[in-house]
Amino acid sequence: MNDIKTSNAAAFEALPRGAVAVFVGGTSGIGQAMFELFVRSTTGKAVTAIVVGRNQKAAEESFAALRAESKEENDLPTLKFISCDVTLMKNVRKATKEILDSHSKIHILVVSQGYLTLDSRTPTEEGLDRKLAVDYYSRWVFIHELIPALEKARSEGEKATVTSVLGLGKPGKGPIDPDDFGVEKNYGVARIAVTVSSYQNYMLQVSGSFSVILVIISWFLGICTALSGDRLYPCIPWRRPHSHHTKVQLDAFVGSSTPDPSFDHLYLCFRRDVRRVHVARIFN
Amino acid sequence: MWHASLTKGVGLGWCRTGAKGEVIIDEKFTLDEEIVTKLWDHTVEVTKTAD
Repeated sequence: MNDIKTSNAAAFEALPRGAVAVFVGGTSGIGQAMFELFVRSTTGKAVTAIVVGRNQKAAEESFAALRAESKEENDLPTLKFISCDVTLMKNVRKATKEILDSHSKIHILVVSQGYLTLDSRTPTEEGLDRKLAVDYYSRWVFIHELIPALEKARSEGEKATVTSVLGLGKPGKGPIDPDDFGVEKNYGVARIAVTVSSYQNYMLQVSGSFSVILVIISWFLGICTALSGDRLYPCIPWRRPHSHHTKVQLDAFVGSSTPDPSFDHLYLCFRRDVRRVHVARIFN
Repeated sequence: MWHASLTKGVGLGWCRTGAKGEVIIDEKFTLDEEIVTKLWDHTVEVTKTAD
């Protein structure tokens, strides 16, 4: 763990002054944890952190807490919130346009939005399945639309990374039906969960051609991280009516006696030259 | 713990490490290019249509 912390500190140190980071889904769970770690780890660098999400109140509370604990008087981070319901691609494009209108370079993009559901296929007004829209399509659009700003940062010799927090699919073994990418037939909770993970693998493969560094966190780490911090747990739809019992089981499973131990691993996502140290790894 | 890794131009890696970081499984593989292309085209189409 000390090695990881040292490594992470070096990664943040390497970020340029005025670095820009975007955290989609940064109002809760892993995304919020990564956003807060980023801000705390870059004090004095005049960074800009943009949180994209639906819960403005949660974002403002997070901003207030970070500002209150800051001891810096100069070069304070700029914290912005962009309201966006990512189930609709028109909203995603509006958000990316708003970001690009004010920032020509992006150094860190974290897409951690997620949608937990046991429902059957639920189309949005745009005709996309709601879970696919949040977990896959919106990720794709965010990355695709913001790639010019990431590439601009890299072209100037600065670090630029994309981190996608989602389950890890099994390439070649996923239930991908080339005739039914939208999963309009044979929709099921298990199938859709594996499908979105598999899609992400393919998305990352293709996005790699854009010379953007990509990281994927194992689903296990993600769940451990979220649950051990009690951040995701309130969002789990099937927790009631045995919430306490379930929580005890989950706590035992993930070992939450140590507060947020996995959050430290997330730092690794900001690096591109770390390989296989309890977390993902990377490219180029 | 399972991890995935990407290497530009090479494809995905699939590995599993133990609690001490030791390598348990380390496999390389490539994705089906036809599916990659079709999924890309599908995604462009439906997200544009929805725009």
